[in-house]
Amino acid sequence: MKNLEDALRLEKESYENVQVPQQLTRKVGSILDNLPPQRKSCSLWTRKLVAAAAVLLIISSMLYHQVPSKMRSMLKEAFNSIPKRGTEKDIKKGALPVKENQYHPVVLAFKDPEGQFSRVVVLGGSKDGKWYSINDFKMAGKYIAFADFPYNEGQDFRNYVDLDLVKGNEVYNFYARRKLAGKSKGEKPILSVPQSAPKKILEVKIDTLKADDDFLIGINGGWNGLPRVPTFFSGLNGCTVDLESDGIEETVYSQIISGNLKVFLEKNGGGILIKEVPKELVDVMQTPKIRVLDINGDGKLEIIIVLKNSYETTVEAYQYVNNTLEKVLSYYVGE
Amino acid sequence: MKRVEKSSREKDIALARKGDDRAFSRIIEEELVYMYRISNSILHREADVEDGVQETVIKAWRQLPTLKDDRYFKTWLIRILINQCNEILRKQKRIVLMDENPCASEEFADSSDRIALKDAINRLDNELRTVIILYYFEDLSYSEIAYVLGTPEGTVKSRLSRAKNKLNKALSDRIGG
Repeated sequence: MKNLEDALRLEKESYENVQVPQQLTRKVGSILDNLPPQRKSCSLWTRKLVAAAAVLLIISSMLYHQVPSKMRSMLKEAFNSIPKRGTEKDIKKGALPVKENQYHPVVLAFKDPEGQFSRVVVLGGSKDGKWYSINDFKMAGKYIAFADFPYNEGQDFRNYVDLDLVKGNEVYNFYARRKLAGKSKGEKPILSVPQSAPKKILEVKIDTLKADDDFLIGINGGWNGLPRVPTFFSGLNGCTVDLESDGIEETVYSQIISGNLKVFLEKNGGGILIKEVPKELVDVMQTPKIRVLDINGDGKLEIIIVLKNSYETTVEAYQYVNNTLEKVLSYYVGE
Repeated sequence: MKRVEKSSREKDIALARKGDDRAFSRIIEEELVYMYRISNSILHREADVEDGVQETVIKAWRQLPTLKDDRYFKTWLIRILINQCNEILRKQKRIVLMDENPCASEEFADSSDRIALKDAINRLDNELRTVIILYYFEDLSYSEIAYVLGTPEGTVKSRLSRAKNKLNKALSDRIGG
């Protein structure tokens, strides 16, 4: 083919030759014959008047201190929770609060049956640039065997364990897809071992939090977890964001190819396969959830993939630095 | 100041905004061709394509009084259409299977360059394909596409560049392979 531009121009001819099927023409004709009532819109002056009245009301209320302080603090908190577009300054600012010689646990919260977030599982964490899984720690204390993960209300949830990663009283910043959803303090962790899976699960009870999302990712650390806000597309299961802060956007998305689920990272037209799930498991799986978040405070966004079905949950976090992808945290629970 | 005579289309848009359903019908009859073409290139399946177009017609009628400037009617309508198509894709959680692409197998054997290009376009991700369709086939400008997709112009340019890279790669792979 001589040239792509020429080829596209030629292809335009065939695109323009596409005819509207008669069936569709008839259906649209029928709609046009029976149009529903049109939405009435306010005149421009009415809208301006309403907006001006609202502004005046707010200003006058604030002048006379009629906005309760609680409401003011709520407004301030809501404003502060809006993630700002990332700049170099934000990233440097974001990276400052990472404390040396201190573990920064990363947790995952699923919505409980009451529609709120009250417990989390610990995915692992970081300290001084290194990643840690919960298996890297010795744990002192009892554990709950045969726990019915994740909500076994009948169990005694006071079997706390002591470990360096999560000591209790940590305040976690919980992030939804594109914003900070809220903060919550956690208790000491509880160790449990689910049926048929000799894997340790660390759960932490947190102060109840409400948010719209199905799940939230929590970080214990003062940095901004979303220094650059990703764009999620409605027609694509994935998002676009500058992961490394090098000015080039990456796209992370999942696609079904030959029945297998594949998660790709794309940059400058080139792609890396991050993860593949065979088709036998895809059939019973929910659509994978893809998130990006700076979970170690280095100003770069990690990729977090959550795969869930009725029987098991897999969470994996990947670090993408200098065009190299590395799995840094993983969590699995299943029957 | 010289008074510019409005075209019959502009008059129809103004009338439709005030609730004239006959004027709206005349506009839609004109616009139906490109609405179908765009919907067809995003959704492929005939039933979905029809749903996308029909829902867009109803939404456009209901939302027409909110259109701020009649000159942008076409881009405004395409914006509704693309949102509607994406909504259909999202609801169905249907991902276009690369191996099940409608023109992949038998037509490819024909080895025509144009069929190969069409195939490569169909294999693009929805976002990239949409930008190619709007820019090359519907002749929309960067700023118009940015409005339609609700993204910055820079994103449109980068998507277009990525789409072209992918098309070039797909076609060169085919020649090489």
